[in-house]
Amino acid sequence: MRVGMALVEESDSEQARPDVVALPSHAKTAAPSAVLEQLYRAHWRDICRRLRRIYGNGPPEPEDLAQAAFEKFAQLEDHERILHPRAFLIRIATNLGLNAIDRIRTARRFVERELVEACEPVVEENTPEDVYSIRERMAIVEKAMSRLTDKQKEILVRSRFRGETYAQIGEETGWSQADISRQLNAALAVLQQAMASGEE
Amino acid sequence: MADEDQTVSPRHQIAADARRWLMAIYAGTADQAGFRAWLSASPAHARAYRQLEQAWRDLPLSEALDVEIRPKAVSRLRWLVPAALAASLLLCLGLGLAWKVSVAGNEGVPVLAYATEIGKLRAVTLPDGSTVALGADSAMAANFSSAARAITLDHGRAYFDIAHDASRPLTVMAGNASLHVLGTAFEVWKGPSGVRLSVTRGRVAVGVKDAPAYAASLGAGEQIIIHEDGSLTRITAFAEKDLLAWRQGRLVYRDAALADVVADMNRYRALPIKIGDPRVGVLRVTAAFRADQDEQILAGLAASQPIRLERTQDGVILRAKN
Repeated sequence: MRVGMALVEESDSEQARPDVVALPSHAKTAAPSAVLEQLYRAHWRDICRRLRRIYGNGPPEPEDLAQAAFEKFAQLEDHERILHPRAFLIRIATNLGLNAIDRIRTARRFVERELVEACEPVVEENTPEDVYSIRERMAIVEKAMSRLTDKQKEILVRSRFRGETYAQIGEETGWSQADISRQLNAALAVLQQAMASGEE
Repeated sequence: MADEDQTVSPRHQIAADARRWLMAIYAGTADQAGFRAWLSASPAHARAYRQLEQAWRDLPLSEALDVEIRPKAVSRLRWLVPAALAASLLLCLGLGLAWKVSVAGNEGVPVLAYATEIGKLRAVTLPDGSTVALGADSAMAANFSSAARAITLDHGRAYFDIAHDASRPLTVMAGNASLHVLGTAFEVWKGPSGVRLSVTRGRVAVGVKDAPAYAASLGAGEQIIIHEDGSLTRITAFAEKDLLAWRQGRLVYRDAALADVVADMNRYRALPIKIGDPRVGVLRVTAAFRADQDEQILAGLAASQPIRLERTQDGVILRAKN
């Protein structure tokens, strides 16, 4: 069974497209679990490894987050069409973790509301629009990441993935809060540059 | 939120402000009313902030952001993980249970109908995984069997991203046009000028009702209009960004018939605009506006075109100026 092929890079060539859609449709009820099982085998260990690098032994425990992420992924209507499941899984997992922090959850909701009001909405996660535009957006963040120092990356991970405050980051790393703020500002500027060149 | 550097250009200043707002918002220290005021002060502010927020949210998509964080001594964050969900997933994987048991069997599949109200857009995922962005005040029906996939666009517009399936070609019927695809992405718009097809990926073959052979075949970046009488325009190029701006709530036209523009505007307003004179409908218009700015656009049209507005209880009538 080649269902896993559905998850590799998109291509116009016929053989790169999944068998899934060619199955007789009475088999369709079983197909999604097969896809997921494949996905699980292909990515479970790697997702857990990446989450462990971000969260250590937790909390949250990386395995718990990964489990919850696979579950949520399976519920996405169009998960069979997602070409970059790993990126989706990591994002779902880290967002699940952040949802436990009131300050971050409130900030995210506030920003979403204000941007809708301003007619500049962010792409809603896990929607067809998100799936559709994700490759382009991945390229932008990848470009930015290649220009960051390790220190800047650590500050990004601590603040964006772990939701840590400057005080918490300072306590753990010994860096001053002013330095952390400056470094984060510089990292965001790099992101802006990558976006500007990506959109032109 | 002024930057320390006094010599920066306005664009750089806006970018710097966006960064400071984002940092303050996620630190929980932002003045919310101040942010709102800054955001609404200029479209450039809103755009700069949206871009940065998008990149911030997209950070987990990066493979390169794989840095090891030294473990903390004491955790001060509370985490909630839905353990029951996790357990249920293991169960499903382990036992190989079916996921979407509610999906109906193949033959005798009911026709799926989708429609949007005035001013509302809708994202649809079809049974084969194809996605459709349905425009405002639009309706379509899908009928998928094991041998073929058929969609009818009754009215309005839709952007299709069709899953490839060589064994099950897909046909979109709209007016007298039939569009045949395997796996591709394209927009179909139905309006006063006829049925307009714009292809953004792959190839689409165009048939006209009752004609034995395909009338045209279009590749990415190509557009054609099939008129009601079955005649076709030349294949032309189009700007994808402009064409699909409606998905972000904007309408963009280059040298378009006013009748077509008005038909689109009516998909966003309760009281319709009517064209009271055929000479008005054929006027050519180039414009870009937010779908909810229809009143400003009407005023602009009255000022720039040989037309006058007649307001009635049921809406607005565009009449030719004598």
